[in-house]
Amino acid sequence: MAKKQKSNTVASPEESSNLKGTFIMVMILGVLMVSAWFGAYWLFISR
Amino acid sequence: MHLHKYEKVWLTFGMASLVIFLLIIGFAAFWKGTHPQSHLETIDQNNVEAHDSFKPENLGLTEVADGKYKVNIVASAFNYDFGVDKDEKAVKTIRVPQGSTVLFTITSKDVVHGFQVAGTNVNMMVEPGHISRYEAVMKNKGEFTIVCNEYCGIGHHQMFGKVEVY
Repeated sequence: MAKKQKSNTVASPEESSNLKGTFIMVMILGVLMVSAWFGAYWLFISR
Repeated sequence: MHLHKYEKVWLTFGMASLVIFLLIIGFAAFWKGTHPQSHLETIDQNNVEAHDSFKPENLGLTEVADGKYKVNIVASAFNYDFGVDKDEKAVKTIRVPQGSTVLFTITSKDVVHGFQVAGTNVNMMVEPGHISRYEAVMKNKGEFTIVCNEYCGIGHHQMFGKVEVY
């Protein structure tokens, strides 16, 4: 019977999870929301 | 609990925007007096003529001071009553000079209507039993269509008028 191999070294979450793509998407969404708000405010002021 | 540094960045961004937007709402409500347009006065919807603003002779456009106007309107299915002109014809167009301050006062005799001067900031709900008011500075020249933007019945699309800023 083959024994299950278990790694003794636990990678830190910083290394194991790459959140770069998520970060970019979150920031794009944030910029969209903020610009939509300022767009509506600009419309209110200009009319 | 471990937080990834990117998570810290977007959580800070999210919470900061929440706080900023709440502050803006508070500023608008308590310092600038932003409120629903129908918050001040109630009226008997079956007898709107009893109110000074909605007596037939007071409907439509009146100049109250230099560059200041008021427009009184009674909305009903399916018409905006802006009063009558010299020839006893129903007024459908309001003409004001550019830069004038116009106070729109409107109520409904029957159901909920809308009052939007498309292309300006004038946009209110008109509820029976309430008087809605909105004061606007007509900054831009042009012809602006008044539309009912609350579905009020079969003739909803026939409720319109015009504001002409010259």
